[in-house]
Amino acid sequence: MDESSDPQIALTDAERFPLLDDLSFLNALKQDAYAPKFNFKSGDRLNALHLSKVKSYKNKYYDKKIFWNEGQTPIWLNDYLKWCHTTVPFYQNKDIALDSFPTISREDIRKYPHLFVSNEANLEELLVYYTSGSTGPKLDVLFDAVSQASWLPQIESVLKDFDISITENKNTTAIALICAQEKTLTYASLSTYLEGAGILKINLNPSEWNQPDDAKKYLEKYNPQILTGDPIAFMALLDLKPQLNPKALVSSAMKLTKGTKNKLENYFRCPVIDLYSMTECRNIAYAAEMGHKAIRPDLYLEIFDEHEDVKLPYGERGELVITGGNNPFLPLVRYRTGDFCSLKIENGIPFLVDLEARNPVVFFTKSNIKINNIDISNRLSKLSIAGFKMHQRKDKLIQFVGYSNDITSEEIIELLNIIFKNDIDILVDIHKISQNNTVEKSQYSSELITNK
Amino acid sequence: MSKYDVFELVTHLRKCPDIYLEPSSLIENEGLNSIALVCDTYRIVCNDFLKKEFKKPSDFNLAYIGDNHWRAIHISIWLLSHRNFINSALIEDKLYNFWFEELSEASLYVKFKEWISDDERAEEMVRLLLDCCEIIPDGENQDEAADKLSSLSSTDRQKVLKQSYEAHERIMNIKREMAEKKAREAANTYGRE
Repeated sequence: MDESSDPQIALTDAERFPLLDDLSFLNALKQDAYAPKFNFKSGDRLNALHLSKVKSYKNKYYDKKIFWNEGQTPIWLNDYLKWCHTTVPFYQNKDIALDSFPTISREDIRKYPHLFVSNEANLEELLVYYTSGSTGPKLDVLFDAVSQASWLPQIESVLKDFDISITENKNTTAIALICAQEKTLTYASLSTYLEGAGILKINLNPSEWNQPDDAKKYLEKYNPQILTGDPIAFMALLDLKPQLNPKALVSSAMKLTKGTKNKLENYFRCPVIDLYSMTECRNIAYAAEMGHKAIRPDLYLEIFDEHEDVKLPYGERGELVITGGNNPFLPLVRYRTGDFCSLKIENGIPFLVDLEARNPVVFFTKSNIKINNIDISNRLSKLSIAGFKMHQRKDKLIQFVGYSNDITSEEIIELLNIIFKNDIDILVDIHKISQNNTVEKSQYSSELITNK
Repeated sequence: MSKYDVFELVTHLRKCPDIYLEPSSLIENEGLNSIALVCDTYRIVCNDFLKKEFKKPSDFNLAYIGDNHWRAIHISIWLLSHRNFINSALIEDKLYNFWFEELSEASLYVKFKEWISDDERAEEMVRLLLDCCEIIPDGENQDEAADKLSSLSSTDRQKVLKQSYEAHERIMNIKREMAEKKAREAANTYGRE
């Protein structure tokens, strides 16, 4: 997701940071000799009430050991459904019991964003982003400063699993969101929740910097504790060979292959966390050995049949469906994520097993043997490839476009030939990763009928 | 015990003589003596023609009853003259609520002539009276009677319309705010989604 690309009305610093008096570190970040040509300003918008809500969100969920057990539902669920039924117009004509709730889709939110706003939500606190539409039509996402800032305690709970904590200090840069795109909003900001620590959103695209080495020098000078971004941005950062000591890298938005993860971990000498999140409800899970470990006790996860409103039992693969969240402008009940996995509960914590983004696609060898895209993902994950698109034409030819500075076309062809049992024609195009890429999310597609 | 047939009571109500449509003497000097009508109805209902003390609003509150409400009370007095209600002492203490609470609210939405001229409003008054007097119409059970009254209730309908209007206003406000906020700075983004 990217922010609204053309916000025309700017706020004052007092509106951006109602509780922060000392903006000297922000000015240092913005006015540094190596600083990029920031094209935007941003704040966390947290006033005292908002901040207390974010902190109470952390207190409520940070140490939660058991989300729910198999055969049970979370204790908050009934009250949440009742609240949705009473205050959210979209849900008011639905039955109050979860089992009677039909699933909803991205299309519902796209068409009727206003109907998902709780009658209790204060419209003065409404904030709007719209997605770039990289995985579908553009989508208005309504939220507030509290649900947005809740990203921080959610990530803190993930970092805790790695014995990492973010230092809260007004002279440190806590988080840098790294982009390597043609164009995006960039800004320096602060986090009230992190006691005024710096927040950066930067684009490695050389056109955004005064001197070619400035991106490297700037990042080295402010040495952010946590780097966030997608695998392509991280590989572009790696190319600069910056001397940084991040506590962790948080990768999201695209599939992170094991090869890329290893490469980043070897260089930055810190955990690289593969985060599963989505615009509609933000953080959901992160990749662990057993599968993607759920992060948030306030999200209830279920698996449904892809085509019918039929809930599937634990262990069976289907579409991930989400209920819950803390956004009064978009409370979700049985929201179809468009992503597929099976669900397993381990000691009260849900794990998403074999999570694959978007609809499963079946490929065929020339002699019509079916090949599941999960098998392809598993094989490709060993390579240091930051992103890819794979398409099968009607004549069964496979077109593969990958983004990597290490892998050759021959290696991909060899690997795909193993998967397709040497019974396929393949065209491979590997693009080098630069500091300004125009890459969409990894995806599979096919012109063939793919009834599984 | 009488059988309270809704159709029969509606038929009786719709035959209401014009004299009952006159204003109250508390509003116009030449009008009907509403207090006397109310007291007489109490006497008929409890079959005690010597009784002098009846539950009625204070003089102060009587002054606040509007013309449309008084005429609705007059019409309902005609309805209460039906033989079903004569010598029905159990409903005596229910009439105050009917006349001065329920009919007061309904009169905000119903013009007095409609209680007679409009089939649905006539049935509404009959059912409202029976409901206030805790009488279940002949051939119905409690739930059916409640459902039928609810489907006719001018007050309920008005509430639904008001809620619907408010919901519409809220949606229009959200759409306005969305358009306005879309053009504004939002808040920090910390990671990609």
